[in-house]
Amino acid sequence: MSVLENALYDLHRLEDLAAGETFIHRLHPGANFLATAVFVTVVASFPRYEVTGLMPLVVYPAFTLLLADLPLGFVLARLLVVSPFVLFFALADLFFIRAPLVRFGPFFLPAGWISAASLLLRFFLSVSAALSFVATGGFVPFCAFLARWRLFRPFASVLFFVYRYSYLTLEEAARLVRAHNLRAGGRGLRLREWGHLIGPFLWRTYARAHCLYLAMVARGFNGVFPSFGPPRKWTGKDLLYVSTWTIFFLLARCVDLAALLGGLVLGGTR
Amino acid sequence: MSHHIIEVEDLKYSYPDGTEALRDLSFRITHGESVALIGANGAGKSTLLLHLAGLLFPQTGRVRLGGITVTRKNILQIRRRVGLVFQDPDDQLFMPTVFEEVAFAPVNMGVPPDEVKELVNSVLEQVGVSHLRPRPPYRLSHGEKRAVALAAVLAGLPDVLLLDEPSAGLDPRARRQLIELLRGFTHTKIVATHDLDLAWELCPRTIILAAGTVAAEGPSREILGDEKLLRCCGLELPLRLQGGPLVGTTRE
Repeated sequence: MSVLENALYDLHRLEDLAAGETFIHRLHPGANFLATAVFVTVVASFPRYEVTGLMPLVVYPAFTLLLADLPLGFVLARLLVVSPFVLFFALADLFFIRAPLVRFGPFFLPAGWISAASLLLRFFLSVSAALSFVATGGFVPFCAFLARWRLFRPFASVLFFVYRYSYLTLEEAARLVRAHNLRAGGRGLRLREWGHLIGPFLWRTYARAHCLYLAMVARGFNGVFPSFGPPRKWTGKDLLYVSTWTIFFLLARCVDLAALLGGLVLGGTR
Repeated sequence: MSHHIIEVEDLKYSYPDGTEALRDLSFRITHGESVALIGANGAGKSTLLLHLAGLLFPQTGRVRLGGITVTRKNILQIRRRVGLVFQDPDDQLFMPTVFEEVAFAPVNMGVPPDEVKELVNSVLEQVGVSHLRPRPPYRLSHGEKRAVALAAVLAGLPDVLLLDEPSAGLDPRARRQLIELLRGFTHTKIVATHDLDLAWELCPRTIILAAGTVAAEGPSREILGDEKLLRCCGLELPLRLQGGPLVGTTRE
């Protein structure tokens, strides 16, 4: 499979996973969204050189991944795919921030190492939480949830279209590359061939997007994302889920839970 | 009942690149008729269907539905009454599940949620794909996608059904099922197709388009039996008249 076909497969896989029937899948989309949003905000709010304080937060993505029955390998593979950008910044920290920060006997650990570890940990936590949010709630139900509020309706429509048209763009690109590869005798795309392909690719994508738009308009679409079924009500479970996690995240942010736990394990020596 | 009469008068349409798709096109289709629209590639069949669905507007001439001229002002009213099934179901299906796909039109038309559920179930049942209700459309076979696309249009409760190449890409059994299904509909139907055997079976009347205008129209048995006329318009006799195998039926 080509890179494009893999990307398309991944998108389909996320939607398939979102159709699960676990406790996490049955949560109100708003509960899932709020818990994830608070989590990402708390993770981002930690200072640059914080590592141990972030550790207890691993519980949240681990909890959702396990309870939602999401394949760990799939999530880790997706994390790797989007990691190069963050790895670049982490490496830059390693090389450019050399001031000593932590002392182990005669050795000093440079600040760059700590900030790189913190950056990678925050990236891992945030992206895995976001992935499990999409893989348990689904993107379109989330758009439908947003569309319940008049204020967010245009935003929901734009998100929905970006999502659908990204599918379409990937499908067209994958077809074009497959058609090229079938007749290219095993060699990849040359730079000068990109110029010939980009025009037909854009035109085909536009034509299909136009057809899709016409199909929507023909069925009464007027620019507003439609909501399917009666609005889902919040249940006690949803409220309990959001409030429990919010309390835990705030606690983890205000109290060094790792140090506290370490102290308890070591018999209150700290 | 005269409210489903379709009248096209001196319709003319050119695409922005100058290609003349339709020229001086006129015909009339009465309530409950089933009409085949045939013609070679590029004859203007799909463009005509887009005009009838109110997705394109005439540059000159007019399209009337039940006595109302199709304009931008009454387009929502027209679109509620006309359902268009696209040639490629992949161009039509975009929601994450079959249920939401079929519910799209009624929801947009403001049907209450409880009724939407009932309507979707009944339409899926009618088309014979109720088992696909929770599935994502991209996981379906071509035949299933086409059935869902048809259900999605039927859920809008149209009076007039426009079908663009409905049998394209279907295996013989799925094609036969589609014919039987369409035969049972009481809608006014316009079927744009290259499948002349389907036209023969389903539509008592046929209109031939050539170079954007009506080349001939009349009873299907006469039109589709006229080899000379068909050849002139870039077509051939239906297989059943060539002594060929009858697709999807048992030979006697």
